[in-house]
Amino acid sequence: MRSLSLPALLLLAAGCASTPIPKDKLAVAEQAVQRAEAAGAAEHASGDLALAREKLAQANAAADEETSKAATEVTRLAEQSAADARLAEARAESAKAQKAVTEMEDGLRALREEASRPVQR
Amino acid sequence: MKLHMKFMALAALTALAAGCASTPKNIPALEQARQDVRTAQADANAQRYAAKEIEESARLLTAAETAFKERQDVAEITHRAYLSTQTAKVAVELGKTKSAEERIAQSSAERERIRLEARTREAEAATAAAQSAQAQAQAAGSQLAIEQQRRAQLEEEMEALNIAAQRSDRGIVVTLGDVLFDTGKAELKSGAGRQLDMLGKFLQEHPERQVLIEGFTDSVGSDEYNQELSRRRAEAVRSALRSRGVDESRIDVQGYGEQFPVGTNADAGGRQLNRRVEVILSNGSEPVPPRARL
Repeated sequence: MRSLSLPALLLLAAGCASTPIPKDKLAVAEQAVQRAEAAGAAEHASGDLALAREKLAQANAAADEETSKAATEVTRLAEQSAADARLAEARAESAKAQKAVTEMEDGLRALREEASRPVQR
Repeated sequence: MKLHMKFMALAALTALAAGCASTPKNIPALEQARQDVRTAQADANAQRYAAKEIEESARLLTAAETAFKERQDVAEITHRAYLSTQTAKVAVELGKTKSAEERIAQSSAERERIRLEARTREAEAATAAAQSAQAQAQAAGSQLAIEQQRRAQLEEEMEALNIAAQRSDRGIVVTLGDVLFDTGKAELKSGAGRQLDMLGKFLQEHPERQVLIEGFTDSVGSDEYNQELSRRRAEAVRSALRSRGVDESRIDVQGYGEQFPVGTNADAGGRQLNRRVEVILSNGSEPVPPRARL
C-alpha cells in the first residue's frame, strides 16, 4: 500500500475541513422557529416569524452548496433565523401576558364597580 | 487655484483608500445595535427580569465592535450587530412579560380585598335592613317582631345574670359543666350554687317558661351506669331549682348517658365537655320538645 505524501494529506484534510456545513446551527434555528410557532407568534409576531422562516429556508438552500462561502452564509442565516424566532416568541409571550393583564384589570374594575354599587334590598 | 486642485486630488485619494479598506465609518446595523442595547440596559423591567439577555446582547455588541475595529468584512460586522439588536429586543419583551405576570400574580390579593370590602358592606347593609324591618314590624304590631325582641331581651337579661346561654330551636340552652359534680357522683358541689341561684331567679321572673333538664356523661363506664348517672345528675339540678322556688311541674328531666357528645371522648378535655347538664328553657309556654333519639 502506497502512502500519500504529507503535503497531499494536509491538502486533503484542509479540503475536507473547508466546508463544514453547520448542521447544528440549522437545528437550533429550526427549534427556535418551532418554539415561536408554539408560542403563538403567527398571531402575535407574524413579521418576526416570517423573517425567521425565510432565513431558515435560505439557510437550508445554501446548505446544499458545499463551499466555504456557503458555510459562512448558512451560519449567518441560521443564527439570524434563530435570533428572529426568539424575538418572535418573546413578542408573542409578551402580547399574551399583556392581554391577560388587560383582562385582569377589566375584571378588577368590574368587581370594584360591583362592590361599590349600592346594595339592593 | 493650483493648490486647490491639489487638495481635491488628495481628498479623492483618501476617499479611495478608505474604500479599499472596505470598512465605512458608519455601519447602520452597528449604530442600531448600540442604541438597542442601551435601551435594554435602561429598561427597568428588563434589568430586573432579563439580566442574562441584556448581558448576552452586550456581549454580541462587543463582538460586533471588535470586528469593526479589526476592519473585518461589513457583512460580518452587520451580522453580529444584528444578533445583538435582536437579543436586546428579546430582553425588553421578556421584561414586559415578566412584569405583566407579576401584576397578574398580585391581582388575586387585590381581588380578595375588594371581595372582602363588598362582603362587609353587604353585611352592614343587611344589618341595617334587618333593624329597619324590625322597627317596621314592631310599628305594625307584628307578633313575630315582638317575639324576636322578647327573646333578645331575655338573652340580655341572662347575660346580665351571668349565665352562659345559647339559643336553639328548642329554646334557650344553659350548659352546666361537670365541675359542678364530683366524678361518679350526682350531688351538686357547693360551687354550683351561684349559677343555680341565678337560674332560679330568672325562672321565677318568667313563670310561663317550661324547663327540660338533660344529663349527659362521657363514654367511660357502662351504658347502664352512664344512663343512670346522667339522670341522677339532671334530677339533682331539678331539686336544686325546686329548692329555689321553681314549681316542680314546670320541670322535666331526661338522662341521655353518653349520647349526644359535644366533644371527643378520645381525650380528657373532650370528655370533660361531654360530662354536663343542659337546662333548656322553652321559648314560649309549651314544654321543651325532647331530643330525637340517635
